[in-house]
Amino acid sequence: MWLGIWLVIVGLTIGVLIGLKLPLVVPPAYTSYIGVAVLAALDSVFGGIRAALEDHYDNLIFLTGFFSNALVAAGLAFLGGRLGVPLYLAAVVAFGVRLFQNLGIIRRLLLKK
Amino acid sequence: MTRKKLVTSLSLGAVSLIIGVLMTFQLRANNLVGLPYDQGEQLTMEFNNLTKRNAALEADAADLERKIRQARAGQAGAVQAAESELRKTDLEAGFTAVAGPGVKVILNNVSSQAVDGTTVYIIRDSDLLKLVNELNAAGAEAVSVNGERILSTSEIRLAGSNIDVNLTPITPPYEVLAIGDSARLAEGLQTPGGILAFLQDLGIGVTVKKETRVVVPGFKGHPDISYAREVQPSAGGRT
Repeated sequence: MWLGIWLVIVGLTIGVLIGLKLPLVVPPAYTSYIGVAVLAALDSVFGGIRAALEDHYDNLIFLTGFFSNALVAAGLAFLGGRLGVPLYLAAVVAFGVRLFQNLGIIRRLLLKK
Repeated sequence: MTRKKLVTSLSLGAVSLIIGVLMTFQLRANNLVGLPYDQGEQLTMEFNNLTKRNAALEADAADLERKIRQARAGQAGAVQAAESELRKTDLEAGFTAVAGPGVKVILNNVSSQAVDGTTVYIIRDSDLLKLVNELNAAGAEAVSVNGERILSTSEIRLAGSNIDVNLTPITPPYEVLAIGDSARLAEGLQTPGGILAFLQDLGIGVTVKKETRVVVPGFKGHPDISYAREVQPSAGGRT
C-alpha cells in the first residue's frame, strides 16, 4: 500500500516536471479536450483509491477505466465542438459529480479506519 | 502482496505520471498563451538580460541622436555656407540686383530741330562701350545700360538701327547706371578729352548725376557656358 502511495507521489512529481520541461505547448484550441481528459483521469484515480480502500481494487479495471475515460471524455469534447453542442459539459458534470462522490466515500472510509 | 501488488503500484505510478504531464500541460496552456511557461528563475534571468539590453540600446539611441543632431547642425551650417557662397557669387557675377551709391549718366541724341541741314551725330555702340569702359576704369562695381546689366560676357553693338545690349535692343535716351564711389566715377567721366567731353562737343545731351542710391538690376538671362570648362589646378592650368 505505502509503496503504491509513494509511487503515485513520485509519478506525479516526475509527470509535472516532464510537463514543465517539455518545450511543447498545447494549442489553445485543444486545451478543453485535455482539461476534460484530465478530469476523467482524476476521476479514475479517485475511483481506484476508493476501490483500494474497499479492498476490491482490480488493476485491469483501473487501467482500462483510466484510459477509456480520458479518451472518451476528450472525444466527447471534440464531438461536441464539431456539433456545436458543448458536450464536454456532460463529461465535466458526470466526472465532477463522481469525483466528489468518490472523495466523500474515501473520506468516510479513511475516517472509519 | 508480492507481484500483483507491485504491478498495481507501478501502474498507479504510471497513471499518476500521465496525469501530472497532462495537468501541467493544461496549466501551461491556460496560464500563458503563446509564451512558454517556465520557472520564475528563468524568467527573472531573461528579464535581467532584457533590462541590460534595454539599457545598452538606450545608450545607443542617445549616442545616435547626438550624432544626428551634430550631423544636422553640420548640414545646416554647410547648407548655409553654400547658400551664402552662392549669393556672394551671384552678386559678383551680376545675377542679382544691387543698390548703392553711384552715378547716373543719361545720353540723348541731338534733337532734330536743333540741327538744320547738317548731318546729325547719333550715339554709337562704341560710344556706349567707351563709356562703360570708362566707368569700369573708375571703379564701378555694377553697370547697367537701359536696365541691361553689363556682365563679363555682355556685348554692346549695333544691330540694325538699334544698339543691342545682352541681345536686347535698346533705344535712346541711354541711361547708364553705375555703382561705386560716385565722386570718383563722376571725376573719371569728366576727364578732359574723355568720351563724355567728346560727345558733348558733338552736341549730344549728356547729364551726369551723382546719386546716393542707384539700383542696378541683375542679369535677366541665363549664363550660357557650353564650351568653357574648369581647368583642374593639378593639370597645370595656372601658369
